[in-house]
Amino acid sequence: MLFFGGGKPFAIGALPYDDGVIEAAVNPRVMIQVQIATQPIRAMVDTGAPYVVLNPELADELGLRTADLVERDVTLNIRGTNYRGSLHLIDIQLVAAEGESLTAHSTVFIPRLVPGDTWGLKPNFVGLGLLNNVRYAVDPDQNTFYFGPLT
Amino acid sequence: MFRTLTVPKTLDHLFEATLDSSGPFANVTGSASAFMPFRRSLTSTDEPIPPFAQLEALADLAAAEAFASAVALADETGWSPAYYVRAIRLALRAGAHRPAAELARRARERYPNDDDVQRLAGLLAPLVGPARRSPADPTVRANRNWFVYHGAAYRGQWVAVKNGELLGAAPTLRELKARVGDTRLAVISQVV
Repeated sequence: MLFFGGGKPFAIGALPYDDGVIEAAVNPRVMIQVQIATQPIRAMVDTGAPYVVLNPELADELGLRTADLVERDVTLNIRGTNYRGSLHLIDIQLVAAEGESLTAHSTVFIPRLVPGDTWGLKPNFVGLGLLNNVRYAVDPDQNTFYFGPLT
Repeated sequence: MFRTLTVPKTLDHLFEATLDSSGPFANVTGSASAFMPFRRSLTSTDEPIPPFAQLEALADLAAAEAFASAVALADETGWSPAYYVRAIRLALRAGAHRPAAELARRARERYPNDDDVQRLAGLLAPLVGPARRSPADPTVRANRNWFVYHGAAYRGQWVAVKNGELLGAAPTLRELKARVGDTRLAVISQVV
């Protein structure tokens, strides 16, 4: 795993990522496996997103829309479109293939689609609502995402 | 310098209200035309003024940048916990997420014992707590490889993949769960 110069661990876990399917050849992404409410899912790492963002269909099926709801009247611009939705505090696990997995309290945006809204083929996003609570590093040569606790 | 923003007629009274100098946004009001990021005809009024009129109007319009400009100029000296909570909620409604987080941090510092402030600060500017460790899952690599080598054939569909093998695919997640049954140990994903 990865260490600071003084020998302190930087990362305790690592997982392989893929480039996504749509536009993978021209616009590769960092798609990782995470677990939310005991359900493994895939999500795109996005350091430009303020929160974790879930596909609304997925959130409905997992029953997350009422789970740990903190704020219900939120606007978030996602790829140029304003979506209304709610913010939740939910534990999300970064699932390690090597080392140890890590679960962190995360701020999650769940869009609430109204007539006229479309979600399209957007991934789930792992944004700063999780990434601000862990250390992470990306090795694009090996397609590996490393992570560790901040404390 | 100025950006023109179309404001619904029904909100006119709110913008006029912002010229009054009462309330926590006093510094926003007196010289509003000098920094307001939208061009309006601003006139003072003798009516009692809701202090959050300007921010509410911007939140209604989801005018995130204008909201950020307005709240940055506000004098927070006299703000109560309730003022902070209301401003943070309006920022979220406006889509101004960085201002919301910054307000939450300042509110937490000023009012560490206020439950509503702490709840919002915990959401938007969380203090780093201990993360929980658990064993690795060696099937992660096999699942990832399935998406690399087979994902393109299922573009846009929902799939369930367990230990590198496809359990099922469907146009919607609900249909997928009906076909596959228990998906808790499988990765479920729309292929994107």
